[in-house]
Amino acid sequence: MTDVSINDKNVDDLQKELDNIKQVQEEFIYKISHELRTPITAIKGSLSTILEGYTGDLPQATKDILKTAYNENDRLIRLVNNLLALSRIEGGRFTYAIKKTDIDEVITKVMENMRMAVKEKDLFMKYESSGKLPLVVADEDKISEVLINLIGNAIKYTQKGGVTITALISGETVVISVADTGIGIRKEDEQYLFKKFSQVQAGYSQQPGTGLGLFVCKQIIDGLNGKIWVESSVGIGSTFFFSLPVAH
Amino acid sequence: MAKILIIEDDPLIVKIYTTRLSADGFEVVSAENGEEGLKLIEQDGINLIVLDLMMPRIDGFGLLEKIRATEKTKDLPVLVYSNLAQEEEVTRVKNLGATEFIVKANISPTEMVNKIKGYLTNKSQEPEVQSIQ
Repeated sequence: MTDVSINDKNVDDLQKELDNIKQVQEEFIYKISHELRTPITAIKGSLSTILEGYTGDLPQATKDILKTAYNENDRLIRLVNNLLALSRIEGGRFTYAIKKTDIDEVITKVMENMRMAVKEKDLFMKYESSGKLPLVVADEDKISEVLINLIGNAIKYTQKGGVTITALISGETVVISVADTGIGIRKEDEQYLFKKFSQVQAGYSQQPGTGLGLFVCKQIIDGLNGKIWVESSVGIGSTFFFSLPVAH
Repeated sequence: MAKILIIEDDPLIVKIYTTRLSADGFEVVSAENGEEGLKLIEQDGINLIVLDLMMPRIDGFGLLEKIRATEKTKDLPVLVYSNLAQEEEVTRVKNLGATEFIVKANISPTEMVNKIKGYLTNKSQEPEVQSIQ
């Protein structure tokens, strides 16, 4: 490029061009996501039908391999969902369907979903709630995404022990926490956790990832007028918390 | 036992759901495109419809309109399930009268069967309080 003189017209043109690129990019991610989800759906449906015994009995060794395939496929689903969410966030078109939500029910459903991944690594997963919880103001699907990301991370970074989920009332909010007994996060790295594409080198872990999950979680919780934070000790484990307003 | 109509153009998905639903004693009829689906909604005894969106000829949106305009099916639970799942589509199918929108990739056949059972025993659903941008 030669002779670049920025005047008002150029700035407008550049902005327009940039907006166009953004839109094309968003449409591209949307199309790709749909194309990716189609085979992923078929794999999930086939494997779970086989694993649940609806096509006959299988030797344990075969089941174990299929379980791994199922869990890896679920990881792919999470990745596609996060990618889609990111493209919506970037495009400023991330919307919420807000209703009074039974958080207890959402947690139980998500845990059911993640059970196979927990079993595969021989970890425990338990849920402790402080009795009857009030309904919260939230978007059930998006909160499920948050929980799937947090529990998915907890499983990923934990080799021994397990994951404890709690929910308790704190003033005008319900605070949900996901605690693991994993590798932990260094204090100086905590500030980067919720930033886009950040992947901190936590402890000895070199586990690859996109650094998208926690960014998406933060966007969702911010959008629901909640807070998300972490407390962690290297070698002991991490606990991620998020709060949601109680519905009246 | 209840009769479920699946309108879906992916034969593998139809096969999986037929296997899974039959195991729980459901009768399953399926159509692999909207046009065929349109004929089947006139059939007697259907209790619930599972509807895909992206299909050749008449798509899920068009079909949903017809389902809601047809005497026999206008009050039936219709579970729209698709991987075309942006807020625009979700809003559009809800406005057209879908009972629920389900992201295909996020649900296993067993979870779907449990959902179907839920709708067949208790049709009431808590309405959304509000939608915000």
